[in-house]
Amino acid sequence: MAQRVSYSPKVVEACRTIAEHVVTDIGPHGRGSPPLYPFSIIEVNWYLSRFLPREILSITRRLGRKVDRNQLAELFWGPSGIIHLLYCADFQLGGLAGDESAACIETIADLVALNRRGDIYCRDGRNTIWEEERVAKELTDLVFLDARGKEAEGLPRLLAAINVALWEYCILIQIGHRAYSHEFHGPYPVDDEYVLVREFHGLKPTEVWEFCSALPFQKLTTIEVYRDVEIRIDAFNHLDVVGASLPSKLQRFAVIVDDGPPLENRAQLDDLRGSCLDVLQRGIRTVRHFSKSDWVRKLLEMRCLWLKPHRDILGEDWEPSAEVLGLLDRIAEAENATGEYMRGMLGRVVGKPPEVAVEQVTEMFLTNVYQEGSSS
Amino acid sequence: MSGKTPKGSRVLVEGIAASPGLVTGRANILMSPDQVDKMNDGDILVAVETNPEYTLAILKASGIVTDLGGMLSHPAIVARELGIPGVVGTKQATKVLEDGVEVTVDGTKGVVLAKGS
Repeated sequence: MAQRVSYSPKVVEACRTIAEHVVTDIGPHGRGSPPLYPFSIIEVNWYLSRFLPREILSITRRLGRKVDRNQLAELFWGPSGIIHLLYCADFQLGGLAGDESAACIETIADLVALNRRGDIYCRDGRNTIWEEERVAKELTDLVFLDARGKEAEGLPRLLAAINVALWEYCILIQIGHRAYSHEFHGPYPVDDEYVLVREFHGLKPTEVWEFCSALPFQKLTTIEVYRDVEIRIDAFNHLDVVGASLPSKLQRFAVIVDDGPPLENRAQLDDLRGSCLDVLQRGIRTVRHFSKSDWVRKLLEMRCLWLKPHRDILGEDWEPSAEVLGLLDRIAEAENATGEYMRGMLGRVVGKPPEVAVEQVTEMFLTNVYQEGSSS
Repeated sequence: MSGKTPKGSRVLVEGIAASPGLVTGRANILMSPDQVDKMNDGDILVAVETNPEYTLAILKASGIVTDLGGMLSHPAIVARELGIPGVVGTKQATKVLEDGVEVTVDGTKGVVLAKGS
């Protein structure tokens, strides 16, 4: 790969990570097409790349004068969501000039590092957010429900149903994104077991989705202990289970709603499942007749809402600006750009060994990042 | 759900082994989320792809088979979460499988078999 002398190592690492995921996730070597609900995630990235990188860079710089590192970490919690912003390198980063564009990528990597320990790209298959001491404390202090034995029959499947219902709900309110409103982390090894933590948060964005008011809680955490199963989590919040049925390997678990004590029995879990499914159904009825424009508007609103806590500190309005809403008039352009991207991307990977494809895609991303006078 | 593929079984469709296990059930082909009420407990959900609008059907399914998708696709992920056999990326399950007919889904090998062949 030909290199400009001044490529930042941090930017190269970020671009290579994205390239590896693109090649393995959507390429012919790969594990399938990108998410397509409610429309292609690549098209989602086109919209976000028009404004979000610029906003993140500006907001982070201005917040740096007002908040300390711990507050910044809290504002940008949900490292999987932050790291998804790297996909804006699919397209040029919204008019940022070369060095500013690189600064944006570096900023994104630094924001992830505020919350994610160890390898921020989770190349060891672990998304490490809690320290060992925290994991040990939760295992000691909380009362867990046993998932084994006759009395626990059906509980693993009930927990799975709750997790699936909430996951689907998050995808719907986050316009197909799989890394906002939820973070899966671990697995944390403890003796011969593995602890998987799921944190669902910001579950009632009623400023954008009125139906969310029906959900009786803002956040939910599950702490799940497994044995004899390989669990992997990548940098983008994808949970993979190798060679076994996850519920069959569950040993014990705790479910914490908002900041309350863990749920104690099957009846409470059943009620929770019912609440999750009820609000999901309300959401499905809401979107059933959505047009493309309706979905794009929700996308723009949700991404702007995501920055509301930051805007509040800066004394600014969170709602999408006229410029951002102007993207609603560019839907055809977004669809064309997505089609061209896919043709160009697949042209780089088809028939090539994966390592060659990764290098070529990395180069493409670096060119996008360092290009001067990029388009908006 | 554990077990061996019956010897001599006829393969109806092949795809990606997304979620391990073996299950036999009635194929229920849903061509859109509007049909989720058609799903019965224990049926094999067969669809082009799935998304959140299929959730009620997914939670009743004992297995999932789709035309599209790979290991990180929506149906693959939910099948693994629920611990039910899943075969995705078959390209033609909704065309080849017959609605209402019993099939065996082998999510470990990535095949869907005719029952009792």
